[in-house]
Amino acid sequence: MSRESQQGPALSRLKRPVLFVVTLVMTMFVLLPLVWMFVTAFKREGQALKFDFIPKTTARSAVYATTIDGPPVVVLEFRDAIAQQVAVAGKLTSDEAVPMLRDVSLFHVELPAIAPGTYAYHFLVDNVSKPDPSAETTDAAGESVIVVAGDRMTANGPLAVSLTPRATDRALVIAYTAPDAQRARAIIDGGRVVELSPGAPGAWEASVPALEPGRHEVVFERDRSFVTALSDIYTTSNFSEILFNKDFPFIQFFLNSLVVATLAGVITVCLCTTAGYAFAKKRFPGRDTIFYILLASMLVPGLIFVVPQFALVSQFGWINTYQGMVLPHVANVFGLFLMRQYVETIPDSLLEAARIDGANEWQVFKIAIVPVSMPIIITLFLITFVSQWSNFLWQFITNTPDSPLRTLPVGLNLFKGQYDIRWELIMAGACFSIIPVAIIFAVAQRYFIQGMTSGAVKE
Amino acid sequence: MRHATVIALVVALVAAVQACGVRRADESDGVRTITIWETYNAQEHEIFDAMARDFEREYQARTGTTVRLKVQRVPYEGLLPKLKYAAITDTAPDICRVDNAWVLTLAYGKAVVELDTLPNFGGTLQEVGSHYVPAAYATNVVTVPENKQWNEHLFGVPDQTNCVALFWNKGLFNESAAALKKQGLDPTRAPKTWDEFVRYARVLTIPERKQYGFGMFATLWWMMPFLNTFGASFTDQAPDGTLTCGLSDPKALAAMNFIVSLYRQDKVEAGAWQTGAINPEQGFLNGKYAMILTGPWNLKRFSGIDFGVALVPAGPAGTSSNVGGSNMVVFKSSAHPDLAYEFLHWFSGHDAQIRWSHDLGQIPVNREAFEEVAQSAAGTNLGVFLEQLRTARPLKQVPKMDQIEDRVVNPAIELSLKGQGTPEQLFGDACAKINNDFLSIINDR
Amino acid sequence: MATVRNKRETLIAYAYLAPFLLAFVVFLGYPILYSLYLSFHTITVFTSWFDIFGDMEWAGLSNYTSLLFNDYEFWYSLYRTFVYGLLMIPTQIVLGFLLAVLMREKLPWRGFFRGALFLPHILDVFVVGTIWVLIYSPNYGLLDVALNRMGITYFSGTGVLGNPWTALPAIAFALVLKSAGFGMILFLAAMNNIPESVYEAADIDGCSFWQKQWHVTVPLVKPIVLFLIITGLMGALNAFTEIYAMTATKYSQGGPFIESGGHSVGVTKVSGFYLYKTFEQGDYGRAAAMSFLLLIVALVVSVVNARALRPKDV
Repeated sequence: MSRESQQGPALSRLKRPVLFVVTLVMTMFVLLPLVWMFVTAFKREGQALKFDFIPKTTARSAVYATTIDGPPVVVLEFRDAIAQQVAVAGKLTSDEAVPMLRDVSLFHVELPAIAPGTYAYHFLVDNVSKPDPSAETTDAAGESVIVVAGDRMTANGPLAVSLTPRATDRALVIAYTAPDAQRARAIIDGGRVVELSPGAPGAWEASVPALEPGRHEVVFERDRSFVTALSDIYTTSNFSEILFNKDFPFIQFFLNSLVVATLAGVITVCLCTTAGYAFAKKRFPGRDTIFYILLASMLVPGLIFVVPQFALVSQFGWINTYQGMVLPHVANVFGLFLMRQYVETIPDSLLEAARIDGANEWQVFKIAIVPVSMPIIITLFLITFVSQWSNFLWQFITNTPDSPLRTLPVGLNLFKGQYDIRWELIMAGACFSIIPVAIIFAVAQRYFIQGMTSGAVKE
Repeated sequence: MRHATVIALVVALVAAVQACGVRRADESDGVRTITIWETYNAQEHEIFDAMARDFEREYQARTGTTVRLKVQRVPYEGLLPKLKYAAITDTAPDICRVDNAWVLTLAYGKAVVELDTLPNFGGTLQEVGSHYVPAAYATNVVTVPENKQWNEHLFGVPDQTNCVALFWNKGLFNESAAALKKQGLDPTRAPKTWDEFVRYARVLTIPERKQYGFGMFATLWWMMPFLNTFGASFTDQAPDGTLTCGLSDPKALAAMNFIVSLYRQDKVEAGAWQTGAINPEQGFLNGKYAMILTGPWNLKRFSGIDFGVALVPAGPAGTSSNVGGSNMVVFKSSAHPDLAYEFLHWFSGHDAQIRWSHDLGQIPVNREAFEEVAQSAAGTNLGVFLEQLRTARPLKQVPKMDQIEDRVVNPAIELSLKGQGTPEQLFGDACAKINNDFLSIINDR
Repeated sequence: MATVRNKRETLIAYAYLAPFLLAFVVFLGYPILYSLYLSFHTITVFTSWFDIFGDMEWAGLSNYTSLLFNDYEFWYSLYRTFVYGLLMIPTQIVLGFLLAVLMREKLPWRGFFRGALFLPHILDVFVVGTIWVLIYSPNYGLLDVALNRMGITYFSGTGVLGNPWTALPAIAFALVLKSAGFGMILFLAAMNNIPESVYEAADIDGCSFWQKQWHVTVPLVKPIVLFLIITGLMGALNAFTEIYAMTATKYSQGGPFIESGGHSVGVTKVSGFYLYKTFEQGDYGRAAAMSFLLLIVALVVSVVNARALRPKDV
């Protein structure tokens, strides 16, 4: 406080906002992956890897065409997300299979030059015949029926587009069905924009008078509510799919991770505190040699331990057990190093005082070391907890695929298939998996900083 | 006090989890049990599991004895090392579904059963093979050393087979219809030869829109359609059985030079093979790559766009493709290998494959089922793959294939594409390395 | 009397050490020795999977000699590891220090910033790496979109991860952002130990803000710097998850590749990743030999480091 006030007043007034902005920018950078993870967790299947974050409220249809002064055009549509090819067949097409064009999951076709009359038809969805689900009537044979009446064509259902040229005044009667639209308009020949007015529920209509004879192309544009557009990209179902999938016992995985990380943390802390105390406060032969050997072992590449440790664990019969997952990692030399550094800062006078009060060896440790070392103990617990919480490799190989003790990282890996990776589910799982860690850190942050600070007992 | 709380909490957690855990089922009740590890996706898993139940019922009805099939989904990633650990600790499953490129490694490592030595195999390798799609079956037949000589055995049964074909974005073709027509090209169909392919790709490459005619992966497996259509192969076999690397043969170099020219001279390939680049599938999905080579597993994923599938464009040796897919192997630690094979035989049989194909839109591995589906699927996108599989040729597997790919061939392909050396020189070096360091392992044996 | 007391002391000390040492010997010591044994053996393609350790072949020193004298890639991977460490460690220390200095200022939302900056440290490296792949990807990634806005299209063809010059720095950058918060907390902790009076004395001497940091803060946080260097070094030598996540697809392992000394080598194939690949391919003997060579490198570098940074009066 006093430090700042002694700087030039103009400078100090400028300094704080500048530093604030710098900090803000850096924080944004650092948080970028986290934000991305969170957003992806809400994406729909197949949207996860698309750089597509802003919902589009305006959507366009495919291009439709009709001919003024020509015979009416019948437009059929069929919606199917999985079908590869759809054709229309039956009397309407003179018993020929006419392939339909595709626009996203919408298959559509224009059948020109249909004379007025009643026709039966059906769809061939990947060569399997199906009736038109949107047709109003079907005949005895299960065929859908459409009535092409004079110059007025019936729209064929809820997803239909109907362009009907009217011979009398060369007008184009437009009916466009789009239940999710708030407003809709038709763009004729790429230029003229005609606002459509709401007709029957979900339907939009207009009559465009006096068009030139010949072919005209029409594109529909509809404005959707933000919520509808949002739900095209985002969903909350990933979270429920993670939580309630019968092949994915999330709660079990989660609890297992919790147990493994907690056990590892507790045992590591116990071992490292006692050993750290011995190294910091005891004189004994071989102390430095042992300590340096331990330190050097920290430099051994971690992968080397995997195969021998695995052989050991399976020899002990510890496959699919907590001890198999936890014990190989509890001799944490790094933790020992931290503990020793910290305990060294505890003044010997404190230990002496305890001894004078008549405490025995164990009581000295309990009274003079443990309470004072609480910050570093908590710090070490946190570090161990975090590293074991996300330890995938070891937990993956020490559990068989049917093990009831599989942990969350192992479980989440199930969403990686040979050909497709369900990123949105993995990210949703990752969101869940940072919750406990974030909570623990939020609660223990004070100790964590203290653990490094050592505060009160500094000599 | 606080310690007590922590300890109580941990104990309670452990107890809670132990309580909801299920004991591993054993065979104490005398029922023969087959454990199956599979890597199917959720939908496939559901159907596979249902079929396993059907097999149990059928077996019960036929023989009067009960068997149990335990189907366990395992992640595809890291499966091969995991199987190795499982073998070391004797926790391997009876059956595992593996990538068809792994069969040789498993066979050499004496990890999986020679199925043709089982009492219920029912014929010679050729006789049994005649019931399968040849390209799929071939990936299971491996020659292994036994007592100073090499013998051919069957180490797995195919469960899924596929290959790549040419996907083309009809929308992008349509947008460039006028320009294509000007070049005398039909915008409503895909190119049929590589020459035509280049002409199409040139028109469809529009740099200002970041649109490219083609996007590809650049690894050996993905180069196979090119190599095969140029009449080249990864290995050549001398009459005495000695294998040599075939990638520096004139035909292979012609294929490689063609690939390089797509990226460097014609500039119609997007560089999709580069680390961190938009990969072909993603680029196709985003409407940035007009054509890619990929397999039937993407048919559903691409359902949001208007695309067609065509045969791989023909080269000097006609059209051809690579062969992918997976096989089911039986581990040597299995207590009931004959029962395991019986299930595999049933699963790869006509009826089961028809059902599998019908429910999932996949290619049957059984030959009769394949022909049936080929007829009904003619004219569909899936049908193209069935057609393509007739000319597809699998990549000849040799030991340490993963290292050959990762350390020798794929870097050579990448460097040729980047112009850091000619294919002649790079693949000459690569072949020398492959011959000396890898093929010698079997040639010297 | 003195010896009796010493004996008792020693016994007590070992009693405190025993649990740790037991766990260490069983789960770390024994594996190291076993790996040493493995490093003199080789697992061939014909080694039975069900009896890998019994069916290995004696290899003598060949694992070591082939790595040292016959493997250009190994040496190149060491060089890339060195580059990676050089890119990552100083940046991480400087950034951590700067953030700590910023956090010492009484800025609004300080608690939030501190938590937010630290948060990525607890994320999984693989998840973070994957996210950065998307940020870095050409044409559609956030970074390239931003660069294109500024008129820089150089990276649009390959993306920063596909360019041999930028691939490794890009990975280092992602990792630095993830771990800077950890360094920040350590520095912050050390700085809180510096009595306010020292700064006040510096103020009276007329030191500017940065002079104060340089003359007062930096010398006092030296142990943290040493600590971060050692952990950074271990991080660089063990680096494989980030490579695995960012430049190892099914289609390219440790690329982009360049031509170097007549060999094609991946610029992001650092030694940790090379070790991982060897290990994954089941070549345990060779992997073990490689680990011991890396251990020697790590020992040498750490000793040199500790010497260089040790306070002069000790």
